[in-house]
Amino acid sequence: MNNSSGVLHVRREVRSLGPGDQTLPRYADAIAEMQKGAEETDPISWLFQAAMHGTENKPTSKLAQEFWNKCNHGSWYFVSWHRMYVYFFEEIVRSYIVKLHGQQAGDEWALPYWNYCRGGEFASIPDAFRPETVGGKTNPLFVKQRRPGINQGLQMPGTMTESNRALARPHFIGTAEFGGGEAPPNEQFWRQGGVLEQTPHNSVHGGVGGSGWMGNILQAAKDPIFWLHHANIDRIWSQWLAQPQPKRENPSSPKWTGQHFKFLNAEGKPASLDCEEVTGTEKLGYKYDALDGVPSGPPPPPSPSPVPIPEGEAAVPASVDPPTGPKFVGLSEKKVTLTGEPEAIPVEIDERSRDEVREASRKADPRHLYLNIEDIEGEENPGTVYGIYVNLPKGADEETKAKHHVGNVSFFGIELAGKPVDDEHPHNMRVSVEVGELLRVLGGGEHFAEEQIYVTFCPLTLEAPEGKEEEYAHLTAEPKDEAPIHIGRVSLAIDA
Amino acid sequence: MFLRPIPAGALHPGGIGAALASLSRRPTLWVEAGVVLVWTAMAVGASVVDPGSASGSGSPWSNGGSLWICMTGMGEMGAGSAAHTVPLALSGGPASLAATLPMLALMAVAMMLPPAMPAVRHVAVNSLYWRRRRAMVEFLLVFVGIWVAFDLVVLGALARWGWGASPPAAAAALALAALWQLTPLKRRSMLACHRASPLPPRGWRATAGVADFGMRHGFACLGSCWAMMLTTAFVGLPRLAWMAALTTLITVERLNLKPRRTARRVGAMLAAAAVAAAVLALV
Repeated sequence: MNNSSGVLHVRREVRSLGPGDQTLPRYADAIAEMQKGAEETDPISWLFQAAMHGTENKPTSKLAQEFWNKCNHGSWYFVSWHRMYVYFFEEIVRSYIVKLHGQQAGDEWALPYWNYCRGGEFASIPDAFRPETVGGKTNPLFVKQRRPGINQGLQMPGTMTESNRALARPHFIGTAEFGGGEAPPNEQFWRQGGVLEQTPHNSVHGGVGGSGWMGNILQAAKDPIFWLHHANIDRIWSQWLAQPQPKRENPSSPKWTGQHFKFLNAEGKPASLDCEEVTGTEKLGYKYDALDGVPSGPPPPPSPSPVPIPEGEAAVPASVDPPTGPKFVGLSEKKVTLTGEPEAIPVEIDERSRDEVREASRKADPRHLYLNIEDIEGEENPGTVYGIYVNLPKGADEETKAKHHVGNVSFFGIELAGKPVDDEHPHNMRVSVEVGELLRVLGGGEHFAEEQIYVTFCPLTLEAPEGKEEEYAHLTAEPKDEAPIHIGRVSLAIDA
Repeated sequence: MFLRPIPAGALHPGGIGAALASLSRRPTLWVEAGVVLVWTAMAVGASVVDPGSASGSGSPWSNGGSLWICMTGMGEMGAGSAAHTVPLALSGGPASLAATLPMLALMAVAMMLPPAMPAVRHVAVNSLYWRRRRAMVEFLLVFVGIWVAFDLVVLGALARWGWGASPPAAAAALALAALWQLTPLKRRSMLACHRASPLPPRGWRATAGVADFGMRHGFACLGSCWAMMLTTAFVGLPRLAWMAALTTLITVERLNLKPRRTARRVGAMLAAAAVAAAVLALV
């Protein structure tokens, strides 16, 4: 499978595009043209393409019924389905650019990616996407249905945008691993999302969209920044695979490699790819300017919470689907409701399991300890992303918080978990993060022998650019009245 | 697949020994084994009581072969009309009722536990490790109890009105079941069958949490399947084959990932069976 022109296109970091570069203006021109097409009947129109990811509109045409609401989230197909989706979208946009600006312009154009993982100013939405008008005309890259302040230049915090935690995962398959757990295909929102899907993917959706378009699966792809966000997620998959130690591998199960997904090509004709065909980008006719997302200049700042790969990870014995399920060793007693304020909940470690937790938290022990945020329910995504902290002291400063941070929980997709659009079953959301390393550190370096842990959820807020705190003060004070999210249970588990 | 990191390529290691070891560690194995045992016992029992009906041969409507009667009267009835045998099952006083209840429970275990296995597994794997079996027993007591109560109500109604298996009654029951498949209430119940609820760790809260989940799941299951289960009171021979067919339909419906489509297909099958029964009634 290759792109139609036979050219190897280079996707470049959006902030590395120099002045006068035509990548974004041509993207904007193509969007304006695509937006003229009818949502229901024009398969390469802007709204049809967005509806393939998700839409609240009921499809009436046969074409729409076949192709709308087909995204795969909470699933080990998350990265592969979205690679295909972005690939065909890029081909479609290129076809519009060829039509508007000629073949050479099309050959030169590739979708840029937004590497917010670099933090700081990189974690603010690129300048071209902020103004409502450009030269007196409507800016096709602008969307007002974004989180307050994001179009004014507020930045997402590093804990929301970092990819180190996902990159550090040694395995693809698993809810606390890079690519997510095994899930049935064509489910818009399943419950097996991996670390990459949670952060930075879901977190950035919440960070940019809040309760607006990017924060909602059924609206997200209408925002032009969606595609640059997903190009970055796509790049991180390639970056993850390129890491040498331990060697990262995609799933080899035929259930994954042989899974076909149907899309529409630049001619609006059905085309399909299977996961095996999209394990590398060059066979699809594109590559990234730099796999680490830093095409030139100084290296990115260190992650605020570097996550070392625990020794011995690569030596974890091959295992089949664990028949016993996870072994729960600690559970919270009560539910937690999140409404935009920090909340803490104790998780008591069962007295019959304390010895096992102590042993499993030792460095030499091959078992893993997981913290699970379970039975997450809510009517709508409030847009707030919460950092998850273990045993966070009261009044902790940012440096201390970073040491206790184990991951994030974002509620992107929660509407579909409870009320699926398509012919699917509802289910609750859950997030899992590995905490063995942190518990060992908290326990003094040898092992963890406490009787309980405290889990704190702190809302992550957008930040003003450095030195402009006062100027942006009115934007960083976000309203607290937001849709409640209920967390049924927080648990600690050992892989049995 | 859950939580545990699985190295890529390690999903399908071969080996019968490994498969058996994996099977032996299933937390729900004893429940699954129990279901198989009940089916085996019913097949053996039915063939002893009525070899013709168990094998599916013989006159379909002549010997009062409703499944309810098959279950409740397994040890005491041979042949006879439904109108006669149903009151027998319930009119014998407390002793008869005491004998009936376990049979109804076995019927619920045989037919309703296969589709409820995901819920049983949910209870098992989401409880503290040492509490898994106890939690499963608590869930099963509530869940099976709801179906036994439903069975008693149906048996009471059958006894009161003297209804039994016959082609017209079967056609009407099957048509009702087919129609129910298309209702919003059916859809809502099916969705509720897939809802989990958080299980507290220990003490009375844990018991109450499991009981609450058992109630929710039991009533959702009842709302989804009551009409199909009702057909067992009116459809004649072959008895176990019809039970097995219904169990298969209900289980497939529960496990399928496209609930609306599956419900419609099951409804179409029930409608076809209703037409067949109506034709039989007219012949």
